[in-house]
Amino acid sequence: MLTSGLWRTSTFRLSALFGALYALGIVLLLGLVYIRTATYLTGRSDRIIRAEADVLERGGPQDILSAMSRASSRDPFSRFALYAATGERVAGDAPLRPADLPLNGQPRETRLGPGIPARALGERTPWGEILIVARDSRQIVELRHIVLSALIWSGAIIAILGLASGIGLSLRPLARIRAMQAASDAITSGDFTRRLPIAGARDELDELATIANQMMDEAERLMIQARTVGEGVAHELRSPLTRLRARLDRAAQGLEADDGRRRLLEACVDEADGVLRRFHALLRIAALEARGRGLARSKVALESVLEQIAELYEPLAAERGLWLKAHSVPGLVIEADGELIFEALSNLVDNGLKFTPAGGEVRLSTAVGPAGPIITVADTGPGIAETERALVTRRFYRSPRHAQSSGHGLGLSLVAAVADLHGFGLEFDDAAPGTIVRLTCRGPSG
Amino acid sequence: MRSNDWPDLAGLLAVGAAPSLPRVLTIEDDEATAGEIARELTAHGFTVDCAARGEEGLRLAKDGAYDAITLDRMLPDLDGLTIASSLKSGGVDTPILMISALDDVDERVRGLRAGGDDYLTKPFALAEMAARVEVLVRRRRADAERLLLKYADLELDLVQHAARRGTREIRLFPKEIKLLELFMRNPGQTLTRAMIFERVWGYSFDPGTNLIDVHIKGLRQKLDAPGSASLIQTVRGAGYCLRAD
Repeated sequence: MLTSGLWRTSTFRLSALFGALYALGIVLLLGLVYIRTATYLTGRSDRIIRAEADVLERGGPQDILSAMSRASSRDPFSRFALYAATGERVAGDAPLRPADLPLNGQPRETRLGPGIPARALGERTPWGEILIVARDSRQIVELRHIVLSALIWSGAIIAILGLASGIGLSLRPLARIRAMQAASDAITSGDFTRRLPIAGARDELDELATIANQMMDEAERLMIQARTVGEGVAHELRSPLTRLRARLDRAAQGLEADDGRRRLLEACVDEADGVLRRFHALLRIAALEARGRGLARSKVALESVLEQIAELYEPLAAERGLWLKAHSVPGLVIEADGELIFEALSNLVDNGLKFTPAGGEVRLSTAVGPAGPIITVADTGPGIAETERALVTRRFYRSPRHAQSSGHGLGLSLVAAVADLHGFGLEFDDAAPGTIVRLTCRGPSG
Repeated sequence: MRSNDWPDLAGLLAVGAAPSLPRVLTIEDDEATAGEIARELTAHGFTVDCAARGEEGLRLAKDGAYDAITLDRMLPDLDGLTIASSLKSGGVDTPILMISALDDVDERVRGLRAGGDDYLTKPFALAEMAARVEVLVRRRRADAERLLLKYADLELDLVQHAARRGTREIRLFPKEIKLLELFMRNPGQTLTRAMIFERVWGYSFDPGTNLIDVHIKGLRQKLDAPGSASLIQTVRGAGYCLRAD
């Protein structure tokens, strides 16, 4: 999924983090401006209230009423009220009663009616009456609203911008990562010549890809070296060995049949044949592996392949006192190179016949699996120990238990090469007792 | 025991198509390989001419009446495939044994399609090469269309799918009939295990030593009366041969 990958990219996370930090900064800045302004305005209004109260009181009881009306007409924001010591209103229009405020001379927050916030103080005049001075503070509240809406809008815009730029910036690296994934998938599935794409941006992704590519170059070089050493040896030695074999053979033909030296030479010819056979198998596996994905596939009817193999190996099974059984689900068809599949299955049957003691059985069968047809070769032999199952397809691997058996230890490598070439699954399992080999094919559609 | 140095000359001459030694043209640029091929074929009773270059080989093949040609797949001047196809399209039907270092089913198919009659991968056992050339020469001289095959007291009727040894009817499976047909069409010829596997089963991979042997053993048991010498003889280090001593 693109989206789930998007959230995990470092670019997206970084830009989201920066967006969040930026929004926080804006909130702090605006909050600070608001608090400082509000404090300043409140303090100013409190000082005005205090000063007006002082001015009113300075004139004494004789002047206070005229001073109040003067102040009212001078400053539309200030309101006054004067109450007698007994609590009746003497003058002023501020809608506050002495009970509404502590009479301590300190300005505090209050209201001048619904929706009209105000600062106000109440105190006793030196002559015993009660003076209330209030000042409308709607300005401060309006300022608070302005700051708050600025906060909400700018916050929302920053969040959206941050998210959008995060997505925008992440799409490209994400696409590059996808391309790298595709390349590495191809590499793990056997295309060792593929490399991770480099965008040329010289950024950290390119740097990583370059490092990975260098590692792969080295791995490929070592792999080719390891393989070509073996193949080169096999290839180089084939011609001289063939000549050696021909000369030994010619020398043997020149001797009398009952000559001991002739038997010795003939044994040498057999040995040379064995070595040549091994070289041939090795080079054949190498050729299969080098062929890569270019495989001529055609429709192969499994039933007929199984029948042919059973017919081919039946006499060998009979000679070794074994049962060879083939049972195929009718109509199964796979897309494959028929000759290679035949060869691979022949090798599996041959192995089964080789390792199963007389009286046992080798069973060839097909079944319909979830991914496609499954060909199974099962025997009642000693089985392959779990620790050896991964080893058996290695070139020249032979179980220590079968060190005396004939065979060159390349049969299963060839089977593995054929399976790999077709993209078929190959697994070894325990038949308790015996071995089960499963070749999982993809059907014609796959 | 006879050595297999001169095993088939008498058989070839008995067919009576040519009074002289059968002639083989070897087109091969590698001198050592050409020498080995020539020596081995001479030992098997052939007269061998060698051509190191493709042009020369093509000219010789068109002019001289050869019984078989061994043709290297890769030559410095002309490609082996080109030589084979230009010979066939020029009406020269001399059987060709293609010899190639390319061991691949596709290559084999390409070689046979271009006009090769058989295909052998380098390096090869000289006995294998000689056996294949002999079969090619013989096949050309023998009548491939015949459906009633006879050898000694053995008869194979390919229409009735029936085999008989003297008066004894022999029941054979279809693969055994194909196997016996191969021997009876090439009497006195050494057939290698690889040739048998290719021609009877149609596969060209290494079948292992025992596999073909047990099939031959089964066929022998049906053909031969108990205690008598077998008609299908083992040629040590090479293969099998249908021969009545």
